[in-house]
Amino acid sequence: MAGAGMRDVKRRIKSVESTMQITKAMQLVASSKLRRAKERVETARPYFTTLYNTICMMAAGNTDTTNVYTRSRVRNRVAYVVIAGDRGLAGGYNTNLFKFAAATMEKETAVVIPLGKRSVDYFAHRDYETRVLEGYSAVESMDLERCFELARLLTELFRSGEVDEVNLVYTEFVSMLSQVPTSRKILPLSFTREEVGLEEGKSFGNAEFDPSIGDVMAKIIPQFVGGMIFGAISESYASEQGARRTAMEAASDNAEEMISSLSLQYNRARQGAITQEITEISGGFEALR
Amino acid sequence: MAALYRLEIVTPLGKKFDDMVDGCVFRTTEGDVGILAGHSPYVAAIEVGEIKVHTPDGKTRYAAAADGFAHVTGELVRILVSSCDWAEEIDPDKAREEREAARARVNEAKTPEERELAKHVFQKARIRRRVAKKADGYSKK
Repeated sequence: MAGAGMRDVKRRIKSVESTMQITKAMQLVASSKLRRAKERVETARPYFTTLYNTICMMAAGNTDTTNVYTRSRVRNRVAYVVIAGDRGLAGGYNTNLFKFAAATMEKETAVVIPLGKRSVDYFAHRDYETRVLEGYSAVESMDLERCFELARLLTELFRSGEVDEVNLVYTEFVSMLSQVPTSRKILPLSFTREEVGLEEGKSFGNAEFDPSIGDVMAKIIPQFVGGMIFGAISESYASEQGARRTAMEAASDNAEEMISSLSLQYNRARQGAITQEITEISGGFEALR
Repeated sequence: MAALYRLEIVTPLGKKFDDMVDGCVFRTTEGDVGILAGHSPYVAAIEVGEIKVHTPDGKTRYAAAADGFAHVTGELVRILVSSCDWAEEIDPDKAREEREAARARVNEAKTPEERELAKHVFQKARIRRRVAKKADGYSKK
């Protein structure tokens, strides 16, 4: 009897061990990818933040409303570019982002533009108007060049009046352990001082714009949108790797714990079987006397 | 000796330059603009073109830059561009190949938008090639 129980336990230990091997491997892969992604985020961040801050400051001081990109419109249809991962098994990374996106898009006529295979799959079965951009579903293949291409598509959508606002929904990489879903408006470029969080008096003041503030802004809008997408994707990608590493670390730890409790069970059963055998032998010996 | 100011060149792939300089020249939508210390606050969009930096040791460095803007404040000049490569970082032969490939794409373009895009790429490649030839480490003026 005890032998059969032992076999079961042994089999379970084996299966947990092989699962642990997989989670360990995934953890290592995520760690090395994370290191590279983190570097990319750190090098991109100065550009990303200065770009955003400068443009916001310009927009707050802009009085030129003739440009289609800087004039705010009635928000009839609002586009949300939802950037998630290409793969699962990253803890709550994808679900947290989708939950956040759903909350942000509530009460709006949202047009979802999913980026990342998970995002595409998720929104394919929901009640949102979605617009999948062919060739832009895999987040991992998005380099700088492709971000600018995508920016051109988005600005075109906006310019043609198909959408009245464009937002990016992505996961900000705060640290190795903490990643926060965020949303940022990128078009139109009209911000009030409050939205930007600009202190009173802090602006371009008497800066000279060559040739004019409206022209400068119109010229750098494609760069701005592309830069913002690149930044958001870098942040999201690093977040995904961070979330996956944490999840896989927890999974490996759990597996280890399970193995140790199973080995204890196995050893007990083995000990029990031996004890029983000894009792049987000595009992039989007694009976023969 | 002329007064110095701080120049920062930032790209999505990191900071390309952050040091004190004598002066710099960049290509804006309105033409080449040179900035010396004490310039009044100024903002302009940057086109595909060359950036020339005069370092305090009297040398001139060249870079091929594309699309962005320059923001001049009292003590700091910040140039934000989508790409920026120093002359010595560009391989002249490769730059020529890229330029020829870009030229071919312009000729093959079918729609006007495609043509526009290809022209932009060609322009970038042309500047890269031109800047690459000025390399040789620091060129003497």
